[in-house]
Amino acid sequence: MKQAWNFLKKHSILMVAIVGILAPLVITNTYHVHIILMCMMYGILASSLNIAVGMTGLSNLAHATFFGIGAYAAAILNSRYGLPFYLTFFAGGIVAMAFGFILGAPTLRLKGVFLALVTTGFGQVIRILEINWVSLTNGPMGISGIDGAEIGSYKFSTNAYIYYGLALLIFCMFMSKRLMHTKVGRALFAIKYDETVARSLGVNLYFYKVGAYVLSACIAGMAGTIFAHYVSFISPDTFTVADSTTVLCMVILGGAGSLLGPVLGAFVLTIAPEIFRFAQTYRMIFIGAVMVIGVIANERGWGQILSAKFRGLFGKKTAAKEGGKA
Amino acid sequence: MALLEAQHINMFFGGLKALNDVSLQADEGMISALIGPNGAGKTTLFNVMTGFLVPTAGKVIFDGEEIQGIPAHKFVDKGLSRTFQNIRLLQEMTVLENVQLGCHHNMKQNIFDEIFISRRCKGEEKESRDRSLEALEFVGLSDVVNEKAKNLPYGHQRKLEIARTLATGARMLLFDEPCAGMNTAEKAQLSELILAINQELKKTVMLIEHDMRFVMKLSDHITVLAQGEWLAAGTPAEIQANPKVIEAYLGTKRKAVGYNAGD
Repeated sequence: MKQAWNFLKKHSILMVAIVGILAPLVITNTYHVHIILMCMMYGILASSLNIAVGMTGLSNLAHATFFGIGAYAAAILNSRYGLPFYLTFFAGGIVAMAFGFILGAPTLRLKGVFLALVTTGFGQVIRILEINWVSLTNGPMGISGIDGAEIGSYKFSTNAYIYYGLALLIFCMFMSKRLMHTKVGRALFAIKYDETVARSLGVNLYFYKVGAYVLSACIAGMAGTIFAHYVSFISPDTFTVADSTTVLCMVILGGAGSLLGPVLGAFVLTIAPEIFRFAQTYRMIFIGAVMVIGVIANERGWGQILSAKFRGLFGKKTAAKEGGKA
Repeated sequence: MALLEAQHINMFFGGLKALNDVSLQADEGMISALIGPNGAGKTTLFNVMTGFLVPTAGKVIFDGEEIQGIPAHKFVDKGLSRTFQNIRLLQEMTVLENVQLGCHHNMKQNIFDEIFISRRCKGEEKESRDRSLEALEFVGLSDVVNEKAKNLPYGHQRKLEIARTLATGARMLLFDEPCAGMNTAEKAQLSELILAINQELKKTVMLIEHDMRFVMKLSDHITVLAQGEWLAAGTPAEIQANPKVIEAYLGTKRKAVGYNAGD
């Protein structure tokens, strides 16, 4: 079990790639395919939020807002100015990045709860803007008729969207992995664990914090553009504070700061509500319970807890002890 | 020649005068010590000299350059690196990563180098690794390189913190109570280590320490603070013979028996 877990950890990007490529080939039910796409979207969101929350230790309750900003940018540029997907994709990223900077630059001297409150407020401000700036966003009616993505003469099928999302997810994971093992990632983790030490060793706290925010916002914005072109209709209700909370839960549930954890958390929290749909309203209670337990178990994430438990069940006793202590 | 100099430092926190017109000098290539009873302002002075506090008045001069008031993260670029009174390690990170962080300020690679695995990134990572391993070997921790820092015993954690300052390549190292909580054998080991850092690596060292035997044996120059004021400075022998210092530590006879308690 431990070996399997280590193998999974070592080749996590490869595993996600394989699962992501095979899933839409095996599953053909339209509704299920839609859920796979949502898995990709939330996977990207969780993985990118992990850069700010998991690696740098900043709280952020506005991640879905950046997703929404990217989507709105794509929708407006496409429906007004007729920009094609391959341009809106980058434009959405850049706009989200700019908003990440606008939020991060003045607020990232704050910490913990205060930062969480400020970002929540930011989410609300953007939502109210989306509702009331009718001339730009078409208000609560939302923007409809966004063109489907096409590159050249090829029109995207749902599977193409999934693969495009998968590519972005893999890129985000690969980037996180590279960061974790090099200078920038070490600096980010140092900020998370001890700002005083980071400062004493020459880490420019402000620069790295804003950088982490901007980077994670950029990727979320890019994911938003994929989403906008896929559903072809967006409204302010698509990106709420509740979504931001869900993404944060995915990261924490999966294990903040790990590479695979947030992505797994995203997959589980996207699929579970669909599986338990038969239980109707009650399912949210179960999912809420799962979240609470997950947050209590916190930090280490589910993966490690499960692997410790399995080691206890199937392995030697010493292994169980180790797991319990660690 | 003085490498690090503090001139007439005043540090007030509201109405509290933590430091009142304190001056000190550390000459290049020396081990100097900063001593004084609890609450004398030693750590405050350290914080001022490493940029964590901006003095209310006064100058900090390093290598002929005024450095008070510049951001704390730039001090290591200037050539000053410090340890902390209560060990500050990145507990969840490995020993090697902790030390590699010390190379941070010397590395020029940016995020694009890292994503695209550029030659600069590879070169710098390798160099930082080599330098960190060298520093770890110097302090004698080369066999626990891949352990998590939190799993090290106390004495090793202190050494790890010292290795991290070595990896920065700073010319001057400031150690805040390096042997707090250590036993006699560990202290002896540590004093050898600090001596080796000074003599083999040619680093200028300044330390805060309460253990007088340790300080007297190790240092070339001692500055004494008491209640935020400069009290005395000189060689260990001079300090030991200085009545003012003895008074600050032990009190005068009259005070000791409690005559003029209101004085």
